[in-house]
Amino acid sequence: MGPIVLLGPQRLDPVVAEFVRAAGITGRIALLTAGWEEREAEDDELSAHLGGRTVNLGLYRRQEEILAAEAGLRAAIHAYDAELDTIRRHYRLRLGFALDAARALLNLGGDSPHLVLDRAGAIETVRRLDAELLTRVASLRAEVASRLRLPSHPLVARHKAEIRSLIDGCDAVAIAGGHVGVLSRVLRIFDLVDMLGTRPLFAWSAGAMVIGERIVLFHDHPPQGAGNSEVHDHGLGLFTGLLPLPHARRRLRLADPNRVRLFARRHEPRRLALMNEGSALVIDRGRIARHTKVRTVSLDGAVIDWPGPGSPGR
Amino acid sequence: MTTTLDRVIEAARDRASLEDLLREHPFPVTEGTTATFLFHGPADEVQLKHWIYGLASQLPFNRITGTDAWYLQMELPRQSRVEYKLLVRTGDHWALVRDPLNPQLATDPYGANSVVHGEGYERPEWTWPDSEARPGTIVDTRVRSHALGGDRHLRVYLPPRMRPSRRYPLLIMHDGEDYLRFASLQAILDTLIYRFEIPQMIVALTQSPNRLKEYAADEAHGRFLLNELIPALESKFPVDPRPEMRGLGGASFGAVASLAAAWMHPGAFGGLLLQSGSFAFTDIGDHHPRGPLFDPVVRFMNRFRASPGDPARRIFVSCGTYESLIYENRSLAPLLQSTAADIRYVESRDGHNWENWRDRLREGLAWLFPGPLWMVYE
Repeated sequence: MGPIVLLGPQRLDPVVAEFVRAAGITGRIALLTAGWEEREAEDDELSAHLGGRTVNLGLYRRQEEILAAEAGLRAAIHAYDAELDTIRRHYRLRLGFALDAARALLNLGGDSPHLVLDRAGAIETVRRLDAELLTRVASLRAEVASRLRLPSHPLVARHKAEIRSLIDGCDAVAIAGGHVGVLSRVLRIFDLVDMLGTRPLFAWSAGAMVIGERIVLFHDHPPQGAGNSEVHDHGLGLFTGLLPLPHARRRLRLADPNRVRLFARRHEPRRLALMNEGSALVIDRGRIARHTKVRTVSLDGAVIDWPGPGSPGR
Repeated sequence: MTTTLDRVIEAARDRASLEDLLREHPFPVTEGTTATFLFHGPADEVQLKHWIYGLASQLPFNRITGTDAWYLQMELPRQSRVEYKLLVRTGDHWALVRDPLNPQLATDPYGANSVVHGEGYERPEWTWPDSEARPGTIVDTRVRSHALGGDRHLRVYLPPRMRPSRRYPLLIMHDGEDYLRFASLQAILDTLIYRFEIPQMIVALTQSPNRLKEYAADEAHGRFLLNELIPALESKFPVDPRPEMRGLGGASFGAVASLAAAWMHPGAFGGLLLQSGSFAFTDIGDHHPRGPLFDPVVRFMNRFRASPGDPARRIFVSCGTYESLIYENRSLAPLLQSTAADIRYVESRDGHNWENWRDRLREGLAWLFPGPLWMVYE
């Protein structure tokens, strides 16, 4: 595994080119914009920012081609999605009550021994629900994967060979943001991790979320609902110890210490990485080698500076 | 503790002191749940003209003895928003004017009113243009209508980065141009789409030349929507033809038009956005106090209440608690809850006005058409 550069959102004030230069990349860059879905190919601005040296891997288009051509596969994936929906719907129901309890206990004043114990118990309940969801989703995926045998499917194999050939001609890979579920799926269908080699990987927003340990959906002030953050799936596990949270300033109520505290403790020992425009974390051999404009939160719910180079987790 | 009123009374005895006080901050001043209004100038009588249902519609100011300063204190609950004017009498002449000491204005098709905010009210930030958001475009189009007679001009909001190969949800907004002018609809659509709170959508902005007739549960208007407007929009724009991806909305009589069209054409519309609907009804007989324009509305609402059917899958209803229509809207909510629809009913401390409707759009639009904000991180 080569170095990984996690970045904040790139649309308004892109900095990915600066980090590509700093990494000494002079050759072509394999670009993954599948998170943009049907706009996948509209990468002109990004490509220009990267000096026109990009090769779009077209993973979304490839996935759509496969699903359009293979009715059986399409039906099986729709059935798989329906099962995932059911699992996640039930998880959300249970999670809502568990989070209400944890928030109520955190909002109670004082720190009597009973309260400390009950708060810890309530947070542990949330953590158990998260862990259970991840296990269920992984187990269903494994079962479906063994049934569908996607890697040996001729059409998938053909696309994989083409993608591998494109990546072989590149010195680095860049994964843009977008739809986190779509990204997660195409990366798995085409086994992209196996093709990376030791190339530097640049990833931002949803791209950064899907290559970590776990994918966590979050929005503290949606138009409706309590804004209950939820665990969505395992990530690809290319780095551990931190949870990138793009658009943190806009999506999180960082001024609510109990809300932030619950979020931080829920995912401990992973450290929350608040990624806004201009943020960057460079991970090399599992350690943070460089960080720019990244903040994190303490277990008490305070927003603090990133602690410095070294192990990303607590 | 010295209140603003104490300071006003003290300062009013000396012109320079009063002018200092007026320079210090605009009036009215809200302290806790009390608003203090001030009028300064020649007058024989001053009254506050407001549109809060339940209070006397004109509240008299008190003259500060020996001065030309007048004041009024009234209760203003937290998060209230009240539009008003001043009635000023000099001799036999009454003038209805905006509050000269208050720079806060709200505009509507009839002009502008002064506005007072209770503590805790703030104009929602998402109603302002977001410089990061990509703007959609507004185009003009025309539809031939046999149902209503003649051509109908309308404007259509097209989302940013629209692709002809894709199909988009369609929302038809009655009084759509007024929503653009007085309720910041374009900026709100741009912002909510940018933030993924609603999906990219096409919004048809209709404007009737005779809304009090056509919006009053008029069958011809329903036929126009379903048989003429929607087919025309589908032929000109990449609109998703599925009824569940289609919404109707409006305020006041526009809400009546929406509910009536959906009720007369069950299954044709997936979502309804009903703001401060003029849903007048009677429980016995046909007599009602709202005047002849409401006759067809009352007839429709009485039929609807007797047999609500399933007008839509998702319905958003909002109303201000200071409106005379709050009773009708509160009555509608449980009735709609008895249908198969998912209902969201919201009240606000506001009146029958465009800024009330503006402030509820985020919740209403996202209720009808939830965006992918949980899944997309660009």
